[in-house]
Amino acid sequence: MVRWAILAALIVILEVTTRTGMISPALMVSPSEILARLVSIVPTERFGQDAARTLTTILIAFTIGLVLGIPLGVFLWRVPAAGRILEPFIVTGYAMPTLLFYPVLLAVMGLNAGPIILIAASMSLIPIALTTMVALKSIKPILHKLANSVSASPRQYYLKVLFPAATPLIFPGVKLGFIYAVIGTVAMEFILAAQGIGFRAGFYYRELNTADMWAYIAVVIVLSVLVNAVLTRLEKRIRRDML
Amino acid sequence: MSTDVTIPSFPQITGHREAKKSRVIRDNLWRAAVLVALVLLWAVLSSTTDLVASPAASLNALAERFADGSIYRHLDATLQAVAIGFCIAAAIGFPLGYVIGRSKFLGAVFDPLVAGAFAIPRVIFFPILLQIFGVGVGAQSAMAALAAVFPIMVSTTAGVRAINPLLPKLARSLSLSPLQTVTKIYIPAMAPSLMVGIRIGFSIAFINVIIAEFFAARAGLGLQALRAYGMLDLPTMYGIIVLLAAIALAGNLALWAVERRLGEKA
Repeated sequence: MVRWAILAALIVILEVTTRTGMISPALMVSPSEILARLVSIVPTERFGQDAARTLTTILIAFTIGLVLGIPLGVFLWRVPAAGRILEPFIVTGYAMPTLLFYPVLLAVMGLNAGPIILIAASMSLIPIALTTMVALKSIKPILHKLANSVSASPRQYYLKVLFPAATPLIFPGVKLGFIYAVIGTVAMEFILAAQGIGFRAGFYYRELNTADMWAYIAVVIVLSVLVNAVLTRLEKRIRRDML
Repeated sequence: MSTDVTIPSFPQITGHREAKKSRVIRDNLWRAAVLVALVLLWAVLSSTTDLVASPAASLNALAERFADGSIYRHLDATLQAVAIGFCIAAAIGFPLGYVIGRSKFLGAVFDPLVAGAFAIPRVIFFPILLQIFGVGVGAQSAMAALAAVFPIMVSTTAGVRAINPLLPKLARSLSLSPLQTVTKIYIPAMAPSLMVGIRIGFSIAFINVIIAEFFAARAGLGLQALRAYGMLDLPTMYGIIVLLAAIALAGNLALWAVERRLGEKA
């Protein structure tokens, strides 16, 4: 309740300050105008293309992150020495994404979705791999013994014992991985790209078109808050039987 | 690892410690080997395609930049922006995170807001910062501060909540002043999670300064790297990126080592 009141108050303050000119119109346009711009932008074909490009990039990057991250986490758990040795690199990669190498990837792959997918995928891979490792480590020893005593096959051991036991603990990492994929994609598009929602926001800044720039910023904000809300709800559902 | 309180009369403990020490050395050797392997991989890649400059050429180009002194201005701009941005983020993030962590009400109100803000790619606000601060170190620092403040807040909040509830009671029973309670009880108890906040905050500040420089700047290593890409001066570009990666890795490893030590003590 208070939360919504704070958000509403913030919007009202922005509306008033932009309307009265306390915040210059070159800096920010009023929320009502952003809404009006959005209504006229969203149905256009170009917005459709940008949104489709951004969303497919995010999904591909996240899928790669998931498909590679979970086996990597399992590997780091199975081979503790590798986990220990690689830990500093992975920990560095956690907050120090590979996006430093964006110019390199641009030089090698050219200006298309490829470099963005690679970077966003590497950003989403690391939290997924790390939480998978931690989750597997924290499985109760009795479950391993149980699997042994019922002489489960390796396949059964992974699918029926480890996977269900670790899922609630892995999910926060998967959620973070998805959020990182979103951040990586939008940030990379924003720097240098040919298409996409992030690109469009940077493009309108360079055109000094503040209203349209804010409309695209609003799209990014709504998208990421929505993603976060959906994932948080999902997380609560998955972890319900644990908590 | 830690050098405090050794009890020489227990050979078991020293033996264990020595075994641990040799393991640490072995691990570090392996880590060095990983780095060497990466450089080798880079060398192999560079011999197969023109698009990848060789390690030697890149380091030469970088050394040249250092020799003629043209890089110092950019190095300065980048490091300055990271330092200022991180300090602002720490000055705002630690107290705010602490307050949110202490109060149930504020936690209930702000947790989802902070989580939501965490999910937004904050670079998207860089154009606005550019309009406020103009192109320059100011905008870069503001970007770093804006990006780093949320991870610092989140880890501080988590640290406050994880404090053993006995500790505040202990503080009360010793009738410590509020200042003493914070400095003698809370900060030592929270040290590991504060370090996590500092490390992640540093990295995020660093990376966001670079992104911001990729976008628009007067001086800075990110700007130089992208400019070298534009002029197809690939050795310089690779050299600068190696320098950036080295700074990031070194800073991260130093902070991570401190974090590990604190974690072991706790």
